[in-house]
Amino acid sequence: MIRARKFITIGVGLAWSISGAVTWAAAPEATPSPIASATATNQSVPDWVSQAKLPVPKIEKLANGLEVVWFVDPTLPVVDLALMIKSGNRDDAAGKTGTVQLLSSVLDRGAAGMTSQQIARAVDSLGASRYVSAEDDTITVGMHGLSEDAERLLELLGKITREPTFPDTEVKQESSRILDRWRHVADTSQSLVSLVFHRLVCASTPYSRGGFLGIQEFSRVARADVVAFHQHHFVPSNAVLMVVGRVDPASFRKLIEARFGSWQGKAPKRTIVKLAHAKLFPPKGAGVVVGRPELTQAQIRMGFQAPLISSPDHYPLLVANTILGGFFQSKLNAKIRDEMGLTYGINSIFSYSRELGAFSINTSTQNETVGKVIKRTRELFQATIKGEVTEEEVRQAREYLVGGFPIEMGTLGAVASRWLAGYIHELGPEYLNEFIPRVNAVTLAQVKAAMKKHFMGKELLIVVGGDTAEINKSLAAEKLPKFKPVRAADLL
Amino acid sequence: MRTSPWNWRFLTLVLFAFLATIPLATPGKLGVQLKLEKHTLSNGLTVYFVENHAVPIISYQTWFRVGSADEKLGSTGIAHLFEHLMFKGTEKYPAKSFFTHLEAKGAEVNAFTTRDYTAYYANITPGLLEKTIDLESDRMANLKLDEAALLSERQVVLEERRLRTDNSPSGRMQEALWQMAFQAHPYQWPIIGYPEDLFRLTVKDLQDFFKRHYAPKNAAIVVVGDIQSEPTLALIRKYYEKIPAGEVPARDIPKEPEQSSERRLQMTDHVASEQFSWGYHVSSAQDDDSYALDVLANILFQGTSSRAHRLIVEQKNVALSVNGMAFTPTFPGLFIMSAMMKGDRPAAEAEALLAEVIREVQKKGVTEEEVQVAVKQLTVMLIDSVRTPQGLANLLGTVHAILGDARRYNEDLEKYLKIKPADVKRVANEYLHPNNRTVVVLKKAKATGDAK
Repeated sequence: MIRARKFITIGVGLAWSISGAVTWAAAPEATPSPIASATATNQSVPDWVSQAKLPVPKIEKLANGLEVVWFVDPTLPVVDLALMIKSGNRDDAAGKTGTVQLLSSVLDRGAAGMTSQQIARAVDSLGASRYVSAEDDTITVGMHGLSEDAERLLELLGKITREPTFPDTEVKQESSRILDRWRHVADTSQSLVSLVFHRLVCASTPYSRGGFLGIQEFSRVARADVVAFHQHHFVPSNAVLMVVGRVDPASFRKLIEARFGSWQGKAPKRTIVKLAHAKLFPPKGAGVVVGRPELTQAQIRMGFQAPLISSPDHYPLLVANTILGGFFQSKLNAKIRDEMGLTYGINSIFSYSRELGAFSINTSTQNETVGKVIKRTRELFQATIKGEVTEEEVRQAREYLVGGFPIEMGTLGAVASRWLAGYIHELGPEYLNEFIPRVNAVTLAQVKAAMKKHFMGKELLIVVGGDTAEINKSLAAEKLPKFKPVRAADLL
Repeated sequence: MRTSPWNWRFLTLVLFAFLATIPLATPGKLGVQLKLEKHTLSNGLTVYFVENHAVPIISYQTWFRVGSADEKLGSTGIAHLFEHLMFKGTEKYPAKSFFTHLEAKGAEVNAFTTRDYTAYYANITPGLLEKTIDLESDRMANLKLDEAALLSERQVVLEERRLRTDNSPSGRMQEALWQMAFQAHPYQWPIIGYPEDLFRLTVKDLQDFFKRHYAPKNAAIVVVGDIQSEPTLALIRKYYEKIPAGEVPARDIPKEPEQSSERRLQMTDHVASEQFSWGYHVSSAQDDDSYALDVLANILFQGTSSRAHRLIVEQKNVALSVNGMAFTPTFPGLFIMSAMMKGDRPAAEAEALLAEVIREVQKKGVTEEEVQVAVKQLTVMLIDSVRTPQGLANLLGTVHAILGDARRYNEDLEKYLKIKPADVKRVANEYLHPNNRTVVVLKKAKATGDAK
């Protein structure tokens, strides 16, 4: 999933770690230099910010259907190359959940006559880094290094993505490592609680299985499944190649043509699997507790399915979320942390996959105060969606979102990663430049209407991880029902 | 807000490596233009500027040379708790003012405390510059401290401690490692402090702490980004110069005696596999050995083709991960190495292999090519680290806090250029011997109740 706070950001795997600074091209007739206007007027968001234009990439399509997206900028001597496949965890075959995870682990462990260590050394010796990342809707293979090594990095990217050999020993070793890493999900209540919350929120959607459903099912995933997935999904018409940073487009385009021009394959057919996770769901009005009696602090997640990022109500909802839990002085943080001292932090956030939006409130507190935090959070949430929002709060939220925009978009890497997220969600090539005007146009009435339409009457799914006995005592003290217990071992 | 044991040397290393390894290139050609200005106000406040108009962002940072190393047993955690209280307001700007005046307009406002220093930052658009200067100078002079703020923020800090340490297997291990490795020096206690000490702190303690450490002479302002230095300096003079200078408090810090035998602790937690951390006493940032130690750390642990990863994770397949870094702060620090075991493999297996990797370097040394590769890897990381105004301001602030002058960010260049394989071998032999090592092993706890 991608996360939305001020804006949308892309998941870990698509994190473009670097590139040059963004050139903020002021709109025609935009005026004084930033510092002059700013210091003279002490105006927080000067006109030039709202008039400024972010770079929009050049997009082209090779004859085989591969799209190439160019964010060229000579400012810094570095380059990011990423090949994104428009298939992800949700495309695992039925009964084979975890195939994409395994594929992403073994993709760079043998390719085009090179062994795993030869590939690793080839990249490391350039001072470069590589990653393969599997998300709900995408798999991304990336290289990051000095521009002087861009040709070699492209060559390695081509080998890894087009000619992986998936050596049997490497597949077995990685499969075993994935199982071992998976068992660590129960090491902290943060990861356990997030897992249960994900399964409840995504139930009966294409994302219900996540990247990993359980040890038993993963044990059935074999090398042949990985090879088949690669054959069907790693095809040019299902891929986007992104070039960010300092390159000479003319000569680099020739290199891309040489490495990827001969790539062929038909668009993949997709199978969609939806699970209900019925055993996890709590009775109405209650929540789920994952027992960890040795812990002194409980993790809490609350939320439900929300509209897609492409919803016409997206911007009013973004403003609503900012007011509720989107920044430090939001209603939730001001009350639960700043006034009551019950937590180190509490926030609310939207997350988006292509076909699913989710809203969540996230916090932690002592086991003994879980009931108090849940009760107060629910009250604040209900009051907010019933309309306890003022014109001033909407103005402040808008200002926060708009004023933070230049800071969020401060590097070309940040622009490129947000742009790519928008591309996956089919928001159009110019959508980044729509952000400020769309936020500025949000009214109090729109915020109230959007919350009424999308939040009203929805039950908050609640998942807590910690000491069950203490948590239930704290719930009873607030006259809340006991939560349904879930064993960590049953989730693995 | 957050605690951060920042590895300043690592950051400086990458800067120098970057400049050193690209022949004929100038920083300007590479897009890293550091025209650093330094000013000292009449009250002793140091001010640094780097103008960069590429993006309409400014990072405004205030660095105080005070951290948990300045605490005493019995009042641990005061530096970090105080950092939280710096957001609780003054007569002119009451609590939440940083958020209503800055964050509400899009700024990123936060702070962090380390063992050696404390830093406050605001990443802002240019229109917020004067308000930021007003707010920061006002709290440096006029912070209000009261019982109510102390009580509520202490609760928040205790929740932070439960989150980062008490309920975190790796947090518990790191706390134990520093506690055991240092027996005289204040690096032994955690930055966040012990709960019993936090409960003991009074408003008077905090007022004394404020008076002693939060004064212009003990601070530096670092401003990087879309500014014009002349008018910005005029604004800083206008708001700060009236604040009394204060003093640079003497650091009366006991020296850590030489460790004479290995120290070892076994802990348990509800984890899927065993883990361990090693800590070897190493030099401070001021000591030239820190450069060779950085290169050594890189050769051993950076990337999946590094020596330790290759042997322990790839060839022997006994651990899921192995990591290490030389932490060389203001006072002599620790070279920390950690591994997470695979399945039911005992930590002892990876410990033996890690010892083998180290012995190999001690006996046979490293190659010229390994040193060069390490430097190139760090080159890219440098560009990453200074690509934003915040990243660059962090670097300059750290160098100032540790070496006393941010302009020294570039004087070590030759020292890195001179690192030879023999230097790496020498520091491996000098520091990485078992008697100088502290070990924390985390074993799996038996499942209890509804745990697993």
